[in-house]
Amino acid sequence: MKKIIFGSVCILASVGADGASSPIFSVTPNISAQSSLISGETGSAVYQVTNNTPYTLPNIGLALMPTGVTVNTGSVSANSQYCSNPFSLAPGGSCLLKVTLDSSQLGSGLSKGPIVCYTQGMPVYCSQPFSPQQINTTVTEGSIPSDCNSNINNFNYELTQNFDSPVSFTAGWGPDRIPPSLSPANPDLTNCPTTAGISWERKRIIAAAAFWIAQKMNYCHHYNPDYATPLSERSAAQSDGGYCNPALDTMPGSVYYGQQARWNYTGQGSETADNWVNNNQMWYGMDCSNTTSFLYGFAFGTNPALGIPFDSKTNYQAGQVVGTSQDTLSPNQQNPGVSSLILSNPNAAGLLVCADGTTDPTPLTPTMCTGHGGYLSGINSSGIFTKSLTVAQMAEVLQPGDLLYIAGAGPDPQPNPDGSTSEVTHVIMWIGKQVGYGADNVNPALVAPADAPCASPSIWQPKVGDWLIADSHYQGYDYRILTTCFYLNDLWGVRRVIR
Amino acid sequence: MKKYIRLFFSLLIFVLFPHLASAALRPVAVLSAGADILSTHNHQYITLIAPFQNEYVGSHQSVDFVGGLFLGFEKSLSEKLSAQLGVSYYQNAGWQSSGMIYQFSDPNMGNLNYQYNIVSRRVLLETKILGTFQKAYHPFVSLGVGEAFNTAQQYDETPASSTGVPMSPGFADRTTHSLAYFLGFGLEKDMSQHIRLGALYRYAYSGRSELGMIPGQDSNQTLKNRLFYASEILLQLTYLG
Repeated sequence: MKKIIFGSVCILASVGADGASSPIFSVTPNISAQSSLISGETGSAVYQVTNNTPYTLPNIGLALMPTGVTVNTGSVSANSQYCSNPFSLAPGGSCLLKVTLDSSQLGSGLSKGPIVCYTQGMPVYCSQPFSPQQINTTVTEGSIPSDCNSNINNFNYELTQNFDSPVSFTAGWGPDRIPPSLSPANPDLTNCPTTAGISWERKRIIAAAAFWIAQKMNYCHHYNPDYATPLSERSAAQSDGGYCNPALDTMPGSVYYGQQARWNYTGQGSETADNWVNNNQMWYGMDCSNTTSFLYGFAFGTNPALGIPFDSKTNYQAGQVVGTSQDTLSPNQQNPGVSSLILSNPNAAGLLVCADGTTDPTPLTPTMCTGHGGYLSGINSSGIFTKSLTVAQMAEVLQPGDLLYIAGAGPDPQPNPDGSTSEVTHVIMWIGKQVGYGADNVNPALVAPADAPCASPSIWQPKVGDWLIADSHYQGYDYRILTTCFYLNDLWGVRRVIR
Repeated sequence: MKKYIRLFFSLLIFVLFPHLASAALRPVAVLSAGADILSTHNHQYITLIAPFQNEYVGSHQSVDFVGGLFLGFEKSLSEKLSAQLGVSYYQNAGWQSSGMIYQFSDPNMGNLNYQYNIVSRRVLLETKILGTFQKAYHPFVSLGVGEAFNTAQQYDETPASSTGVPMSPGFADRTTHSLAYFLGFGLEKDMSQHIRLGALYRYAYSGRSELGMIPGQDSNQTLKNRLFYASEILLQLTYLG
């Protein structure tokens, strides 16, 4: 398979520290278990297990759990950080325990664990997550719906799979990504992208975004969400693989305001500043374009019709060719007659979007969106930021799942690691939702703050009716208000994968 | 110590028995009921999985019910002195021993609390020397020695936080037997020709107790209460035939 995952660098900001712990093992969630399953469905969860003792402990394992809870060792490899079964941990060492929940053996559900013991065969020294982060899954009787629309939010099968390549690894960035497959049976979702149509696909990608936003990971330079930067690489520069954002919480009124902790950490259970800084939690997460690439694979698997997987490097994903020759080329600057001035990266995400919301169907012979108002971009054909795009305009022409690419040196310039003045440095996803309290809204409490240069709450503070995007920067993947500041003023272009 | 106490009671029986045998004996039955107060102070290190040790720190005072029955004979030794000799059985409802477990003996890993019950059943050879004043009042001292059968049971651990998980299974129940004795004093009053009511304080030694081990344990160490002493305050109803 052609390797199309590259290191990508998006945006960022600062630092801090504190800590202490007393359980034998800290068992903290990386991917939380499903809150409900229909009997017969398979659930899964990933927890980081850290040895807090000053001793190397062998034969650690899952214990004292019902028979329906087992360890999934399918992701164990020299490249991944998953625990074998049983496993050993050095003092302070950690690994990821992936557990599978066979709901048919769990009665009405499960509300404890996973319990990790030394030893697995003689469970004397055992720990489990703090109660808010323990497995809390309700099992209901009934038949598993087989239609696509009932399974828009169903990622059960995807979550049982291995995301981490066992053979390809880049220091800092971690193992390369393996896109999961869609569920082949009970329910069979493999044909949903074609049979259930665009509406299903759009809802599916937004559901995938919601799932990963709920995991509260950081912004890191990683390919996958289940890889933590090793201790030896935590001094990585902001432009390097393994870097994770050490930003302080800028959310006014939040528990850890002004401290180094995720903005929406509750202070309950594992969601403490200590765990964020000292127990690896801030060292999980992906950057902006690895997130978008990962998400599309998570939602649709490998899908040639949609061009998935697409590149993970921000500017390549945007369409600029490999290398630096097109770092200053934006959609409206293309010249169909000059091959070097065509955004022709074969691993770009979908098609460029025109100003009227249509797409350019022929990326190798660009139409320049003639008759459609040109490409949807803040940059004109001379490479000048001229358009004052408004959120209202965007809401009229964008579709859920559209990817908006941000230039590094627009009117609201962002850190630009490669030094090129208009290199694409960030990508966000239009989710087609507004802040509010309705079923199709996003509660304002779930909207992350912005960092510089849009850090003033007067700019981003969520108000009912505000349009939202999802992106990974600052402290990770979150919903954010689509502001003109930074996002629209610096809009390089838009690409549509679902069409 | 055990040897000397048993020797003392052997001599006592040897001295009293001729008197008891040479005069009229009144059969005696005594029902006792009251409270016993046990203070336990445990500090133990136990290896469950070698080479690691847990530190168990218990400091607990518990009060529970104790009751018993004495059957024997009473013999008047003089106008103002009489003696009883017989056998008795006492049992408590169950002392609770509890404390904190520091896993790996690490003061930062006090993740669990423990508790278990100790039921002590004692079979004793018992004697009571009674005086008489104002005809109806009988101050007395009493002594007993015999065997205690102490059952440590129902071991349970509770997490100090939601991250803690009790060891499973816990220490097994175990009954141990050892020397037991008491020394007491009190006062009885004649309520009728056959009935006396009394009260006494006694200091009782019930030997030791220990829990069983857990399956597969790497040592034979277990939680113990050595030399546990209790203060007992009892009411007694005596029937004299």
